[in-house]
Amino acid sequence: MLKYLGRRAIYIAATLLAISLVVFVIINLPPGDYVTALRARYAVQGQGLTDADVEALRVRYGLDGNLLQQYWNWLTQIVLHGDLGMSFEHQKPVSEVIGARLGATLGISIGTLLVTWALAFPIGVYSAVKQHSIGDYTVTTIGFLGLATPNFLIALIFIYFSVTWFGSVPSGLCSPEWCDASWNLGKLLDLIGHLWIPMIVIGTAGVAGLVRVIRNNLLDELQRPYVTAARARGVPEGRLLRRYPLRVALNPFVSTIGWILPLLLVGDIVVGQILGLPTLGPIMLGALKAQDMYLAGSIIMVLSVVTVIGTLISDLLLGWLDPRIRLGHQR
Amino acid sequence: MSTHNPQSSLFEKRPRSVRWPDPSLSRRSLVVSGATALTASAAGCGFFSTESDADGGGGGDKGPEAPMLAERVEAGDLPPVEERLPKEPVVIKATDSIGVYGGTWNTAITGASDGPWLWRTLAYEPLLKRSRDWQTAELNLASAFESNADASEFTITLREGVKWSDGEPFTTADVEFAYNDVNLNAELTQGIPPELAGPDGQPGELEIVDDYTFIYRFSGPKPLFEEDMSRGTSGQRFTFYPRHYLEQFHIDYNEAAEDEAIAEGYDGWVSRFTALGNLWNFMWENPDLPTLLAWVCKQPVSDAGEAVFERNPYYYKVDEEGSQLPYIDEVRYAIVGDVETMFAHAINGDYDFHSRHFNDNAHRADAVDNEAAGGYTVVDLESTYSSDMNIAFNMNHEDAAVREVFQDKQFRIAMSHAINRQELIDVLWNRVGEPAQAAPMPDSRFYDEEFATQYTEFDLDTANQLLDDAGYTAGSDGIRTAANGTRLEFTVLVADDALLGSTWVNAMDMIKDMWAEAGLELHVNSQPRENWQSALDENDFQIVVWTGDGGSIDETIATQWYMAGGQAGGAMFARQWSAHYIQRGAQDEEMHEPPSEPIAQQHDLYDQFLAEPDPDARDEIFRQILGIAKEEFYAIGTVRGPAPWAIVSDQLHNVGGSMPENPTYGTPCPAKPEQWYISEE
Repeated sequence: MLKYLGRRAIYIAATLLAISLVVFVIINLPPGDYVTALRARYAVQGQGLTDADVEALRVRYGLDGNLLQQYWNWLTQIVLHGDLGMSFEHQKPVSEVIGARLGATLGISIGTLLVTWALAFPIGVYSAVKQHSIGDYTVTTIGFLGLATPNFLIALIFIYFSVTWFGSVPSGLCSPEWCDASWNLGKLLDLIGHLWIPMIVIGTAGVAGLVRVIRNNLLDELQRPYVTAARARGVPEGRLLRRYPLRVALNPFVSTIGWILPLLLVGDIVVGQILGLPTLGPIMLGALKAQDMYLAGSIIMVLSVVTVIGTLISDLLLGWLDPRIRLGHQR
Repeated sequence: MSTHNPQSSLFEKRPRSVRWPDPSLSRRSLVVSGATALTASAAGCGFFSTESDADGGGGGDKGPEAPMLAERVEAGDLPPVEERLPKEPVVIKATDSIGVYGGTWNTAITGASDGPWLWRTLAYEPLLKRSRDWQTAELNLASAFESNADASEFTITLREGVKWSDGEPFTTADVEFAYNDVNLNAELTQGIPPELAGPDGQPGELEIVDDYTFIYRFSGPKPLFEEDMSRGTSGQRFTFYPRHYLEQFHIDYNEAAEDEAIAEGYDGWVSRFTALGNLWNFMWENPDLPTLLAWVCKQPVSDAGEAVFERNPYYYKVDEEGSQLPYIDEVRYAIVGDVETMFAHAINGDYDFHSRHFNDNAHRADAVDNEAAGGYTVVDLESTYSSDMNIAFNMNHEDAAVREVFQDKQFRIAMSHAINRQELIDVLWNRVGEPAQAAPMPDSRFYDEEFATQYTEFDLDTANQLLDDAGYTAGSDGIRTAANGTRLEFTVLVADDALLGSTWVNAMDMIKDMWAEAGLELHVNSQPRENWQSALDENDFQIVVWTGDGGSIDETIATQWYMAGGQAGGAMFARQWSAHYIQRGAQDEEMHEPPSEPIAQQHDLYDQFLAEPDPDARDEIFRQILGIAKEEFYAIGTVRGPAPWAIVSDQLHNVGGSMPENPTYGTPCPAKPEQWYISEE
């Protein structure tokens, strides 16, 4: 087991290194750099920067060397000092910018994950057990709609109806009168009142996908001879379902942990932008647009680390959950 | 469990009154300890209360100071208001009525990159201040501002007793620090800010007379210095740097500044100093930085879902009754990345004043429809753009044959005649707008009807005739070729995420068809603004479009459509010639060809303009510059549409209706938000 973990750790390091290089190169591919973006912004404000200013700013931001040199500096700082660099845009160390938003991001993501599971599991089981029933067709139709509709569109539709029917815009995580208030039941209710929209918006596609996976897996299992055999022995239907096919059908829950978290964070990029959430998504979008490369690069690296470690955890859990799966090499 | 029984709630045991944190504590720690204080002071409500204990809404009692400050004075945390105000506070005449204290000005920004909106709403406290109509300058931070006979030497007196937002006195020591250690420090300030440079391009000489008086001396006449000192960034060069706070970050005053900065995660002292107190766009977002502004930062943009600025207890202005301003307790910026979401908030009545992001023609009808429901009024601002879309041909293009075409005035006139502006207005400007050239607009004192309307009539025959006469021969596909062999097939670069970006893209698509009728094949290349700027900086474009800056208010400063010069890197139709003038020849080796005769003549005239002390004579010189621009017809204007608009909540008073919308003006700051107030009536 230790040997297995050690080997996986080496793979993880190599993967992250490769990701960091690709990320850095892609971020730097568009023409111009942060100073160009800054100049554009100053120009709008009627404040011209001369070419000498621009050059001096490049030196100040460390954008004057070649790309490889910049990459090397960034990487060594992260590895040796745990320093993610400065965000040009926010004029703060990247870790501070990310840190301030990590809580809300993880909170929404994990909340969404739980909601996704809580919805997908019973619906999936129901639509497999009652295959071809009206209920199955209804949830399948809704599920396909959820899969096919882009997140941001669902968010905009929510906002539209919220404004026309309820006279409030569900953006941010608190209403203005509550943002400053101390915590009490009212603020908690206000938070929940705001939280369910991003959860549903980000979660719909996940729910729909997971429902399909569970339904198909369970349908496969329900046809198996062991189910027929158990039924022949007179095991009650409910107990039969719980004891055997359901346990097998549980695998996708565990095996998707690795990529479901980054998927939720990616969903947050556009949805967070539209709903004005204090999460990582909107600042990632802003960082990419402004070519704030250390910030953008660091967020992508954080996502990558979460993905890679999540995959490892889900592999380990799967090995524990399903004895048929062997970790490491087969002799 | 009943919330009314004091014995039954766990949360009732906390102390009822909490002393305000010592003001000498840093504001950062105040945010943290303030949070605990709030939790504690909420004890009376209890956790199971569903009432918000945050202050909202206006209507506080009127006295010499805001109730929230009076409480702090009573608690002994703040000196009495008489001691906080200067000897002679600036008295602000209310626009409509004397206000009441309290409330929050709600507005929004898209994120940390949206500094300009913060800047426009908060940061306008120069030495002098322009009047609301922008025509005259009033004393502001300066209590006297005098120049000698030839306008080469200026004696400036600071208002005695003005204090920074932390209570430290504001004196010429701050001016000295700002000038010598920030403005003239090559590491902190790149180049010499133009307003500080004399006719020889060198910075002037600063002489400190006493605690409140200083003299600024140029090598020759600089009559526009007074005007510069009344504009946003320029006018705050001397007064934006609290010496007592910033010295600790400056290497000249603290040898350990470099090491400390690196230990805190910065690249060095320069980047720390810049982050905390130099980058004009963001510096006052540092909650620790003392300022002279009406509202000071309580929660910066980058922290979370909103930015909050609260009243400055030492603000140096009062209303006519002697009550300290500002009336409004705090300014709150919701961070909403998506403009459509922001607009949904706006029509829902969530903002008190907002004039950015969504205030274009496309959103106007929806905004007006929701006025009653949202409890706000749509106020039309005064447009200051000569036209909403000016078309610039790159006369400095690297290909000599291409720039020969673009420099041909007959070609440009023909292209102007080939545009059906009425069709653009009908289709894209909701039938509201008028054809206009890149010339001062009717509101301007430089308005010349002929300049503003020449070549605007749609006349395809004239266009084709002009091109035929000028030697552009049509090929078999209808596309013309210039006498030098250049095929008239060009690309226009459009920044599609600018406020009018989508209108521009659609307009150029229509103009593409119109120009095809005259034998020019156009390709429209739309790009995000950053990429667009990059192409502009590298002079790598054929045609670009942008707003017609300098239509009124700032004609003589934003000259970039009238001559090779002006702001933002200069004229788009001649980047290199502009650089040649702005940088005094520093980049001439890159220049493809020297400036043409009229361009050089305008440069001479503008030099005279800068040195002319008499305002009328100055205007006369500027009219000559405009005369040349009219004759040369450098760029094509299209349509001047309805002006941008603002959302003004029915609860917000003293805004005073329409005002110009202009980046130099910095809408809405000259309307004096410090005397705006919130009241249900």
